[in-house]
Amino acid sequence: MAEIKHDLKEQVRELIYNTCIHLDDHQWEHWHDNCADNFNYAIRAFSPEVQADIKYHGGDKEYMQSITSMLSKHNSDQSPLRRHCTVYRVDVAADGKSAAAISSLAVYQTQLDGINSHVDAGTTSIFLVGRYNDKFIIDGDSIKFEDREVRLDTRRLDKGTHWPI
Amino acid sequence: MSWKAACPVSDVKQDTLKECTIDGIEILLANVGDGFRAYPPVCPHMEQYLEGSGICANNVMTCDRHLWQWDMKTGEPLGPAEKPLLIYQTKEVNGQLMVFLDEELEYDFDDDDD
Amino acid sequence: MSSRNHDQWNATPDLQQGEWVDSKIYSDEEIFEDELKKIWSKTWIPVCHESELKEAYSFRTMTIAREPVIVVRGKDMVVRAFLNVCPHRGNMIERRPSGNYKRGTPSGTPKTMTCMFHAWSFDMKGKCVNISRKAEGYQDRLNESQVGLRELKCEVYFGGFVWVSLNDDIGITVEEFAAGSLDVLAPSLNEEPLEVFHYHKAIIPCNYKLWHDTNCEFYHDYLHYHNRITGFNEAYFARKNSGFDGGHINVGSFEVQYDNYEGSHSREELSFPHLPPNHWYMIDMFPGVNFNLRGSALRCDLMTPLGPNSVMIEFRGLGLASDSKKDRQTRIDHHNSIWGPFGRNLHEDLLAVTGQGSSMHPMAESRKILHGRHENETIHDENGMRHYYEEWGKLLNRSPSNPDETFKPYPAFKEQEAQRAAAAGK
Repeated sequence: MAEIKHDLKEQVRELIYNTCIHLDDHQWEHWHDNCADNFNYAIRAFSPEVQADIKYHGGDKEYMQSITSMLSKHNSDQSPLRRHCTVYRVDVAADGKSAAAISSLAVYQTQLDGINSHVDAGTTSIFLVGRYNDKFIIDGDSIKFEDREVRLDTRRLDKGTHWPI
Repeated sequence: MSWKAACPVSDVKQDTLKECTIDGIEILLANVGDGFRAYPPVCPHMEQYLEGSGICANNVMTCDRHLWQWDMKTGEPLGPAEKPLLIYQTKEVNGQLMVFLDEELEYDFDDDDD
Repeated sequence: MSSRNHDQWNATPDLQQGEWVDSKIYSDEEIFEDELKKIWSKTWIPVCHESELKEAYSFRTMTIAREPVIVVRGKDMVVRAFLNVCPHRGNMIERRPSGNYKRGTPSGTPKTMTCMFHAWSFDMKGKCVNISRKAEGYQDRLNESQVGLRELKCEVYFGGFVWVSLNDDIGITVEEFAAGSLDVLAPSLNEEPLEVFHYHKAIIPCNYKLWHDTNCEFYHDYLHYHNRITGFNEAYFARKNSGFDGGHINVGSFEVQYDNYEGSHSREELSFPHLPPNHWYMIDMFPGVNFNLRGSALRCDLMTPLGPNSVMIEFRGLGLASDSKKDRQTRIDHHNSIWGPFGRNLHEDLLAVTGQGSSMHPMAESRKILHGRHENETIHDENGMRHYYEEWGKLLNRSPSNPDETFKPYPAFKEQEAQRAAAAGK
């Protein structure tokens, strides 16, 4: 049993890391394929300014799919985002049918066309810092995201972005 | 207007301060070696909560804000303190610390203008 | 000849006064300092919302024209504002964005603001209530009554927003300052308490007035895919853009055609008191405040200019304090999808102004910034900007099109048109 659990933990980690690659590289379809039908996504942060938990973005699977499918229609900053993620902890339920993970997240942005490309392009800076709080559904061989909360520390978001984090 | 139980005497150790609430009134308890004392919970200077800010040694209590001090047995002001500590009557009965509660003892902070 | 050489680029446009401004007003250091001194230090500035200060002894901190300011709610529940500066040696008394003084800070005592440095304490009315070891050091030469905090004028007005002025002699209330520009939304926002559900900030490399210009005009709907495909109908173009004394404007309502836009749901059910659902109002106040109510969410942008090419914008979203969990979640999702930092519109607006900011550096060849659209003061008219810069010019006594020259009053557009027609007829 312990072996199976260990194996499942490894698979969860792999899914989280592969998803970082998918999101970095804008392979949105791969990300959506790894999300359950009842998937829910949210970007949140606590604001000590207004003493409230803020939801910055989010929706169900259909909403996130519509967002990524419409990206080409929108004016966007094309400066690439690069995630640096470390999975801190994976917990697999006793029945092996669900799991939860906490990962550290830093997102860097390397300027391209954001402001003045001649001067700025190529400069990397930290864009966002926080954690992924993820929940998974495990069904035999298949592990899918059921819920992802991107819990940000960062509240100074400057230009923001159109891309899911 | 009567004697009320605060807590077991063994809960109030020397050189520590313990807060408790009796009938909605906050009381600060102390162990002075040969007995116990009970005071209002705040410093008579500017209302700082003494459970967190009071430092006790050799039966002298010091408030860590502006360093007012008192003789813990008598409430007499020492050092820079300009007002005494008010003291409730206490006694021990069967290992319980009892406090005589008539009216709540309060310092006059003159904060109507606050 | 379609492109232009230096002389042609720099020539005075063949447009009327007010229809263009010189880019120098967006980049010049001296003009920026003038603005801080003659505008931001002199007027009413909204700084936060009352729901950020719910209890007695709670506080919020902010800056106005570089002055650190603290706003506190007293035991009497009245909100007061002070310079966040200790009268002793000028330390900032409070460094946190928010909190509550019911329990004391490490150097302090309950119900006081205490400067950490030497433990000088002040009550919620700004009175000094403790000078540590006063008699020993100052004998009878200094008393608490001589070292109270510097209080600032403060009002809670319009849906619970907190307004502060650095100017003791301002002589007018917030209501008088608003000159009617807020009336279109006041009944709805004053009906019951509001609550802030969204907050984020951006520090953007552009002049604050460029962000305000964007909030004053809708011609830039070309920037936004969904606005283009859903917005441009008869009702859209019928919205009136109205000016008020003091440089404020507001834009009237129209019904947003949400169904045309894939991925958004009509906000029909949820609105604000007295407002039909799906309606939209925008108020832009001088010198740089935006209230934007679209169906179910109220957005408010407040600006803190940091330099001629730098502004901090605080973005808030508000609903009703009485919202059910479900209604609140609806407002949040609607607000975010358009105005959140990862939403559709805001990112695009910020891209546009950062591009402007990059272009308008000091010593640049003058860009003549065109504010010349006239369409009967409807939605793509640029009378909003003209109205703003007329006030700006008066307060600084600078001509917006030639800022080193003094201001000359704008003749009415119709008068200018008549003159132009007469000149053309000659």
